[in-house]
Amino acid sequence: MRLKAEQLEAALNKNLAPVYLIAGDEPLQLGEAADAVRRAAKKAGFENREVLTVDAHFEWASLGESADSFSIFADKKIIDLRLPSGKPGAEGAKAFTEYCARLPEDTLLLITSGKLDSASLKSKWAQALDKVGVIIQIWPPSGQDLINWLQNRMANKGLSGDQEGLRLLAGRVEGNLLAAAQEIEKLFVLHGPKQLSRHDIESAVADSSRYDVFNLCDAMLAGKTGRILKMLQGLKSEGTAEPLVLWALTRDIRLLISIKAARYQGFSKDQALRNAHVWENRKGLVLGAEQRLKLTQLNKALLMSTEADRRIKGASKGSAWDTLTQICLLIGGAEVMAETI
Amino acid sequence: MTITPDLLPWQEADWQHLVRYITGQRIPQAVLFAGNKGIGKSRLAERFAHSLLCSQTDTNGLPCGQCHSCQLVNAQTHPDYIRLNPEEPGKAIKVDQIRHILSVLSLKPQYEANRVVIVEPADQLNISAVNAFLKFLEEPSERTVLLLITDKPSRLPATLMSRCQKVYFSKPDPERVKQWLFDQGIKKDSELLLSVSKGSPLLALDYASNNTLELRRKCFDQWLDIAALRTHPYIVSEQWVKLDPALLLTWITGWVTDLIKCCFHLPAERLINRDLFEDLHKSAQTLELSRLYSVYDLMLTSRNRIDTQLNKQLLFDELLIEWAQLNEK
Repeated sequence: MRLKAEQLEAALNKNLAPVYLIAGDEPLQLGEAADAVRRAAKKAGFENREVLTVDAHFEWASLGESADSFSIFADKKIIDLRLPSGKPGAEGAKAFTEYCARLPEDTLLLITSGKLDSASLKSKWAQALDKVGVIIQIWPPSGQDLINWLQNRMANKGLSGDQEGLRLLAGRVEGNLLAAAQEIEKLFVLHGPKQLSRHDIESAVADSSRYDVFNLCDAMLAGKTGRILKMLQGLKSEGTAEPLVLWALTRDIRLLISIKAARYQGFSKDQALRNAHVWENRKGLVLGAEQRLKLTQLNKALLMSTEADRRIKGASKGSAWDTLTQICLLIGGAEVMAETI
Repeated sequence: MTITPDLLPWQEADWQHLVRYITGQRIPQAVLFAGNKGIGKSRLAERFAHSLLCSQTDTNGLPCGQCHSCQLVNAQTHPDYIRLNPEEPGKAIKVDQIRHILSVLSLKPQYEANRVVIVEPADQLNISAVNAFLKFLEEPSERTVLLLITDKPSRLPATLMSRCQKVYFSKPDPERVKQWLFDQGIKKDSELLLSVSKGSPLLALDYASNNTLELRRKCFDQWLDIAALRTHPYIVSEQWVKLDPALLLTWITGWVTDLIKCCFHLPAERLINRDLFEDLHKSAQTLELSRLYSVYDLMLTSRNRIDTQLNKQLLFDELLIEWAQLNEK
C-alpha cells in the first residue's frame, strides 16, 4: 500500500502493517516518519529493536537470521533496517522478497532508505513489500507546499504568521527542513505562542536555504531572476562543482532547442514534449521558456556554454561562475551583460 | 618467425638514413620521427628498434633473427625494449609514467646491445612530463636510444626538439602509393582515398577497410543540412561526438578549406574533397569570404583543443552553430 507522509499517523492509529518502507532524501521528514512508526510499534508491545545498517560489507543473510531468531527480552520486536543508498542490489532484493513471502510472526520490519528511483519502485522486491506492507515516499516540499508545511508546523507550537512573513521564512529555509524545524523552535523559544510579524522572523531567522542544480534549472526556465542569482550564489558558496552546473544548464538548453525544432517540423506541443521525455510536472516550465525564447538566443546560450566550459577547464581566462550566471539570465529572460560575448 | 615489420615501398630512403646510424656506429641518443599520420612512422621506428636491439646485425643493418635478443624481441618480452604510451588513447602521457621509466633507465641495459625506448605520440607528453624527461634526454644512460614519434612536431617544446636528431618523413610519391594500395586490394577510389587522407597510405588503407568514405559522405550531408537550416547543430554534434571527434574535425576543416578554394575559383583537382566539388562549389557562392575565414580560424583553434579536457560536444556545438550562422545571411 502506498501512503503519503501526512496519512501515516492516521494509518498507524488504525492498525500496524508488518513492513514499512520509508524512502526519500529529506532527513527531517524521513526521521519523523520513522519515529512515528517506532512509537506506534512500541505502544503495541514491540519492545525490542534490532538495528541493521546496509553498507558495503553488509550480509543480507543477517536479515533472515534476525527474522527467524526470537528475542529473549520481549515477545515482539522491530527490525530497523537502514538502507542509505536506496539500492539493495540483487542479494537484497532476494532477501526482501523472501522475507515478504514468509512473514515472521510478531516482527515488524521498518526500512528507511534513500530516494528510490522509479525503476526500483517498479521492481519485484518493492512490489512484494507493497503487497504486504506500507510504502511511503518522502518529497521535500517546495513553493506553496513549503509555506503550508511551515504554517502547520508553527501552528503545532501555537505560532502563526502572516503570508509575507511565511514567504520570507520559506525563502530562508528552502531545501533544508532540518533548519526550518530548528528555526521554528527558536522562534517559539524567543517569542512564545503568538502571532509573528515579518520583522520578528527577519531578525531571528538566518539564511540556511539549500539548492541543487535542478532547482536552478527550474528557476532559469521559469525566468525568476532573483531566484536564479540567489541559487547560483548558494551553489557557489557550497562548493558545487562548476561542470555539474554547466551540465545541467546545457541539458536544458538542448532540451529547449529540440522542442523548438520539433515544433518547427510541425509536431504538436504535446508530441514534442513527449518525444523529448519531459516529465509531467516540468511541462509547463519547459513550454513557457520555449515560447519566450528565440532560437538565436538559445544558440547564443550554447555558445556561451562553450566559453563556460573553457573557463572551467582553464583554457580561457575569467570566472566560470560569471558565464554561468550570464547563461542563466539569458535563458531566464533578463539578458543583462550578455553582449560581452 | 620474426615480427620485424616489412619496409613499405616509400620508406627505402628513410630506412637507409637510419641504417647509416648503425653501420656508421654513431647512434644518436634521441631520434624524433616526425611526419603525417598514417605514413608508417611507427612501423619504421619498430624496425629500427629491432635492429638496435640485435647483437649481430648484418651488413645491411638488419636484425639477425637468431640471437637471444632477437628471440626475446619476437616473444615480445625483451627487457630493454620499452614503450611509453598514454594510459588511455587520446590522453596525455603523465609525469608519473616518466618517473617510473626514469627509475628503470637509471640502471644499465640488461643485454649487451642497445636499449630502446619508444615514446608515442611524443606530443602527448604533458608539460611536467617533458620537464622530467629533459635531463635524461641530455645525458642518457649508456647504450640507450630514445625514439620519439609524433605527427604534430610543432606542439613539442623547443627544449625537447633541440635534444633530438630529427627525421622528417615527407609525403610519399602518389603513383607509388596508388600501386601499393592496388596491391593491398583497393581497386577503386584510390585517388580520392589518398586525397582525403592527405597522401598518407596507411590512413587511406584504414579508410578503405572501414568504409570511412561512406561515413564521410553521411556527415557531409548532415553538414549541408545545417547550412540549409534543415537540422539544428546540436542534434548533429550529439551524433558526431560518438564517432571519432579528431577525424571529424579534420574533415570539416578540409571542407572549409575547400570552400575557401572554391571562392577563389580553383578547379576540382586542386581540392582535398574532389568528390564533393559540386556541393562545395554551390555552397561557396552564397558565402562571405571574410566570415568563412573566421570559421576556418575557429577550426584551427579547435584542433588544438580537441585533445584536451574540454567538452567535445560543446566544441562541436560551437563549430556547427558558427557554421549555421555563416549560412543564415
